[in-house]
Amino acid sequence: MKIMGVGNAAREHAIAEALERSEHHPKIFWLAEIRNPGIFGICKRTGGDFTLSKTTEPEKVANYAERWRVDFVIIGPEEPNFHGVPDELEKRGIPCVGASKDLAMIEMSKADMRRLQWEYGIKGKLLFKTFKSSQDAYIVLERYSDTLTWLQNVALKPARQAGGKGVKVVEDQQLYLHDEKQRFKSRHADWLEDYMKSYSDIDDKILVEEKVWGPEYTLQCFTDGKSVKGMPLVQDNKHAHEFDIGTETGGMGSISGPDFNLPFITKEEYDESLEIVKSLVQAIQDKTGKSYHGIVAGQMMLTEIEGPTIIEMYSRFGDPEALNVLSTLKTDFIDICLAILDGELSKLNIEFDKKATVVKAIAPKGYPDYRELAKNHPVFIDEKEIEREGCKLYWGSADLSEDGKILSAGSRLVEILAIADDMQEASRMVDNCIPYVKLLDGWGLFYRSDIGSYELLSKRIDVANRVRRLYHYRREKGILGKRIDWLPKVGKTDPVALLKNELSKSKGDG
Amino acid sequence: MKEKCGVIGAYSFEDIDISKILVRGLESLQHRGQESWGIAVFGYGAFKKLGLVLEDPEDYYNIDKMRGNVGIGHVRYSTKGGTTIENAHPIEIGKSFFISHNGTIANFDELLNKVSKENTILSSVTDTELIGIRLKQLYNRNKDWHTSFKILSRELSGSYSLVMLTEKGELLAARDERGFRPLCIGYQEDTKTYLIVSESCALDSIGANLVRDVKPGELVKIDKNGLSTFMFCDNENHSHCPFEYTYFAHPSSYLEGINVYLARSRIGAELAKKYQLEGDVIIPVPDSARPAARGFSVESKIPFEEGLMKDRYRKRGSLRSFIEPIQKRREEIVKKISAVRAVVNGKNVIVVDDSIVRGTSSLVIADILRKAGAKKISFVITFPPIRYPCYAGIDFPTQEELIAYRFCKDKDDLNYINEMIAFALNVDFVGYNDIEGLSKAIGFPPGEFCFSCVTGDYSCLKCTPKFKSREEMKG
Repeated sequence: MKIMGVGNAAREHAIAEALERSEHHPKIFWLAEIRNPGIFGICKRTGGDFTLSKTTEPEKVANYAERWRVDFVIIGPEEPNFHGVPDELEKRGIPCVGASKDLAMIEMSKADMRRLQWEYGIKGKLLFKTFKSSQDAYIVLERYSDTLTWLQNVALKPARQAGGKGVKVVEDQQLYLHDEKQRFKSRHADWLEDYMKSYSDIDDKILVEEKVWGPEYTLQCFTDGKSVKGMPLVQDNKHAHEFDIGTETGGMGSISGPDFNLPFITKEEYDESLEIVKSLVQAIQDKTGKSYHGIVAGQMMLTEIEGPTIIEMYSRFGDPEALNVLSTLKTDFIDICLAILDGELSKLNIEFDKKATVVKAIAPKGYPDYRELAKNHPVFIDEKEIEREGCKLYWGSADLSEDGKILSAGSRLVEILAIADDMQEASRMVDNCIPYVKLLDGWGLFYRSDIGSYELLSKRIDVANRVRRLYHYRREKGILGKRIDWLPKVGKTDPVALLKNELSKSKGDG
Repeated sequence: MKEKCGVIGAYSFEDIDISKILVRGLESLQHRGQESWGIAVFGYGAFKKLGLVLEDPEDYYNIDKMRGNVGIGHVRYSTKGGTTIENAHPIEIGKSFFISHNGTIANFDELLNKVSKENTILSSVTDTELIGIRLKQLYNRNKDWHTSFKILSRELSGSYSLVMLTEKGELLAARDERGFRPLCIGYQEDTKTYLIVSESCALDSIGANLVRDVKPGELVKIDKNGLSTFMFCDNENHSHCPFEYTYFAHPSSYLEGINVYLARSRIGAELAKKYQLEGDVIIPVPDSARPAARGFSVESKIPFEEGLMKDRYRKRGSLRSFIEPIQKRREEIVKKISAVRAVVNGKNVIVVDDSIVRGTSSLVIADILRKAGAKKISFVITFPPIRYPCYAGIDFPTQEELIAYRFCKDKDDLNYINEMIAFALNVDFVGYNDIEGLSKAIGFPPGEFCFSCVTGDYSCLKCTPKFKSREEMKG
């Protein structure tokens, strides 16, 4: 069997490794933009091939798939989906595990995803507004700045998926900082408008959502369009520094297990979250008339206002979340891919090891704000020692040059995974491996030792309990999902009704 | 020189007026110092005033002019030196290097000799200035804060929680290797502001999250690259101040991960078990003893009532008496406490107080309660008998002024001390806490605390201090 993968991060390394483990003993081929040493090694070992190519050009990707005569293609990152790579492959009769362009809209346009959710009445919604310019956004934010409405405490986001960057939460709750917070809002709106100039594929530029708080988690699922099967819950840690401080990154590490769920999420909440993801998959299929076969994931948060709530959707595995689930997957990954492609996922029993996993990313200093500084440092890793500690190394943003040297490529360099009976043990195992990753020119590296620690986990449990009490109370009183705003001279208003009204009007216009 | 104080440092990665955050934090650290306050903002120098934070409406205008993204602040209550504007923090060392300090230097003269070998300095230097000058000497030689602190920590004995603002606009914070005084790190998400504060209660009022405590012996540096930390001394043995838990800190604060309110409540419950007292009503001495009195009441099932009221609407009525520098003013504040006759008249009253230092306020309270008709008065004290001066940052008076020393000298038998103090205060019973009971209720083994004011054993300070008279201390 021949399989081709697309993408070059640690997530794709984990996918390649899961494919390699299969009883089908496939030859693995890969298309990537930098030469990831891990994936490169797997391709060579299995008798496949590795080529550097742009991965967002459907023609190019399909050409390689045809040339290598692969049985199917699996897409790692989101951008190839947004650019229609799966569509082109299918047009040429090559099966592809990956969401086609129209379906990937649930990830690419955060605004359209929200509209879809409101239109189909799917749970876990947030109030939102979209804007085409920062000026428009600011006028609205300014108008409501002194009133008790949801527009006081907001998350300002790029309306399009932009690699997890550019989200700013502004909580205008301290009166003494009111002017500053107003300034932040307008400045970030300007920044977003500028940032979104490089993307011409969607109309909306700025998304403003109500601010929520609570523990976040990722629910990744396999789907063949008919059934949606959930994987173990994973939590990613976005902040650059210990105890959730510093800039938000693509993810500094993730935890899962030991028993399918996370210690701070209940079985009931897992089931509700899965229901929400299923409904969204059905809604987008209904809207586009296409069948979704690939990976879909909900980046969720437990909130006081709605319970399990969608923050964003992924049309692929999360990075680093993919490592947690693929490393404990007991069922043959290729069997799953085939079931997805044949539409027979419901017949397959998918099993995972009942273990805790901890993944920690190691990044060169400079990441994420000054990536140029983090680039081009020679890397040395003692893989034998890492193996001896019982951990697994996944290469991320690292480039293997022709002469065998490995250079850092600016983002998270490697991710190290440990599997153990409990999370603290797995966390300690990863920490033991840190000294084996070095940059030969002495440039510094950083990672987060607190991921998987008792202290951080206790914090998460505490936050989850507080949110749970609130949303359970709302549910008992029958006011889950209800909001009330207060406008001067108008009085009590229902922002949910206003939003629904607005959405149905704009539909009529369109 | 002065310091049992509150410190704050803040560094924002957004364009924000840090002075607003600093004064907000200082307002909620006011219980740590009422004599003077000040802030220093990078690029603007320092602004200092006597009295309470923003007491004078003019202050708002002055603060508003200080625009910058990094700064430090301080509220002061003196252990050494008088209450003058010169002694207010932050103190400028050389040009544009500012330092704020909470703690006391125990080997002042020794360090003074060392420093004056390299620079001529005025003899009237305060201990904070001395630390600052020494640090600058070390930094100029080593060009590295980590090494400088390594050396300083060996030369210095005493307690110090420091925040510093450097000429380059870096924010530094350091906590002595024993962790005498508290210091913690906070973060405000949307303004991307890192905070270093004496107590976590300031973070709550700023709207920031408590990240963690600064570890004993840790140096924290915040600059444009974010937060980095170094251990300049790794000492397994800690000497946290138990007085923080019983009196000093704000009940909402977390010190070393332990909430002060709950600790006080447990202390009260432990005391109820220790002294199985009979009584009609439990009343706290406002305000710091209230959680302990509640804990005592729940454990003993004797009802809790507010039998003493502090008149917080009168001028100075809501201030804390213990940290007032002048005895007359101290008594004035104590006298603003009145008894609720309806609660205490004809009753067997158990009064819970945090500590007895000079005994002034206890005498006044016993007198007030008697006049209000209390039948029998018992005092339960959450802190063990204080018989030795503090050289780690609390302004206890000279040994002669400490009531437990005056009446009991070096006798260690607790029952004897209880009886003597009951006699001295002219009340029916006094029940002090002991070291074991207090440590257990807070939640650490006794070895994690500094009890030098109880035992007279100053070994955790690395030196045996010469007891000085009050006049010498206050210079």
